[in-house]
Amino acid sequence: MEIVIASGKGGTGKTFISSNLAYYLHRNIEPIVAVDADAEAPDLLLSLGGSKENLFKYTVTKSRKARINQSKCISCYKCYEVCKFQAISIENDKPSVIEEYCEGCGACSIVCPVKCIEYYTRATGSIYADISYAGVPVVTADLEVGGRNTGDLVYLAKERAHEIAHKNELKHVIVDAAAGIGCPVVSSIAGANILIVVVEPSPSSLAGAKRLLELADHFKVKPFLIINKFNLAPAYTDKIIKELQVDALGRVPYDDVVVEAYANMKPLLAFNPNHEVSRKLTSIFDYFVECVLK
Amino acid sequence: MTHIIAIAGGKGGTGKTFIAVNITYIIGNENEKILLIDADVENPSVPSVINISFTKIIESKSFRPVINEKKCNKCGLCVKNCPEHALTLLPTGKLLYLDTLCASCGVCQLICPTGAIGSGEKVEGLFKYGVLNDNIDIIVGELIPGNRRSAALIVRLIENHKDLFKKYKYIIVDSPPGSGVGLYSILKYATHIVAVTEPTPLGVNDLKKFLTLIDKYEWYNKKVLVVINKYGIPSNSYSDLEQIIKERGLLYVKIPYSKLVLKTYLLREPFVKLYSQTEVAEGLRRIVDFVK
Repeated sequence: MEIVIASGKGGTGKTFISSNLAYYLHRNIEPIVAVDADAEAPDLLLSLGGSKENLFKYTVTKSRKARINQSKCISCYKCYEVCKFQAISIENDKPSVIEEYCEGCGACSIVCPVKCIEYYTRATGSIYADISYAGVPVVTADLEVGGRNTGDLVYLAKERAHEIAHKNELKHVIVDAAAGIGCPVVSSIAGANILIVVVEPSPSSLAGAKRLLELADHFKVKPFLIINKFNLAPAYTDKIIKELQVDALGRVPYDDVVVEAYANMKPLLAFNPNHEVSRKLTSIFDYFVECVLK
Repeated sequence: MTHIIAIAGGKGGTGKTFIAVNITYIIGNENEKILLIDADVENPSVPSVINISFTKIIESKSFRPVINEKKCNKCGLCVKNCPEHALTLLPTGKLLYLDTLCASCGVCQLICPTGAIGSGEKVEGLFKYGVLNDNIDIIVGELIPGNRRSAALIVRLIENHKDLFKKYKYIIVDSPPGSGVGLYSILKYATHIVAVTEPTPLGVNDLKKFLTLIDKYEWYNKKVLVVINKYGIPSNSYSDLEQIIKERGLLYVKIPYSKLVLKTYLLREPFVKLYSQTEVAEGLRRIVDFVK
């Protein structure tokens, strides 16, 4: 099964839940593979202790970009008129391409009467797989800064993870999604079986979760809820559960020990398995395995 | 000259919206005209944490092909040239269009030899215009769920309102997390970058990646301030943050961790309005000094 952890709003604890769920399943239930789909800010490998052994790493060079051959250009501005991405700017009467905005769609070269537009490719980012110190294999999507096509990168990382799972006869893939509801999150959710929405008791997290659930609905993925840091506003937690109308797996309290575990680069369940927060997490994951995974 | 201040920093949930809203409120209270733009279009939080009266909502539309079956000669050129594979020619000869994949580039229409593809529209997002008080105007960009093109919406949110910027002395842009192209379009115009982080290994890791964005584009003429939010939580990341700041010779401000922040969110009031005599408010005022 492919299990995605997402949230809408950032900083609610996606990586916290992902790293601990991955560690829990890998150690107590059966080996799994994890994917860091937060390509703009990937942290999953780090939260599972960092890389013990790199399995592979490669650069994805798939971003197509247009370039205008200035010596042939007759300044007709047809490319400027046709570009839907505001990727062509005009300086000193000559059009030029803003590389970051260019989607490489080819519209400009279709209309160019003197065929002075050529294409080249840029690095989208990299994909790497590592065995983490916590034991869990992690496939990471890492976007080139200022880059686009995050969705492609996430899709490729998931594909690599499924290959590893297939080869080693692993049943489950855990995907730690990016914040938001855009391209990388769409690619994370597409094809997944289960979505775990991590919320914290704040109005912005509730709003983010609602938008994420709309997206989950498009993809017909079954959503579950975990309320993180619930003790910061218990009354608001009740409001969230009531408003979202999604099966809640449980509530996790905030405690400084969570930060301490990160500081020691260990999932909390490995760092301090007997802590109250760890016990709470374990009971939520037990319930999840019993009632959902099986 | 208008100061354009991007509140960013890589990791999500470090307190970008908190800082954006509060420094906007402080500057507005000093009788300066200020515009707050919520550019975190995938998850705009500003309307969740303060009460805004919205006066106008505009739909941000983009191109969508409308297929005229009668004119279509099934040549397949549009299918071959569509960069997103949003068009498929079925064995029955019907041309199938998949809206969720379409990037609105218009290539299909340009390449079609028979003029069988007309122009339609699809709504990708909303621009909401509102006010907080006499001095503070607000624009919120909001992506429609199910749409994947958030970066393009941010580009439009910034590019389409550029002329408006001149009317204000200060523009505060509450930016999305991350380090991708959406952020690029904001930082490109920024005069000041406030990089908000938290003292955790994840905060450190994401701040590092964020700062390489500044290096890549050599934005060294922009003023950069690092804000270490939630300062005081038990962590061993402080020395890492200090090292990054020192190495780059950056300015920084510490804001202590406070449970009052969430309380002000639930009351939908700016923190500095309710708790002006606190260390947190003091830190926020220091950020205001930096952006002025």
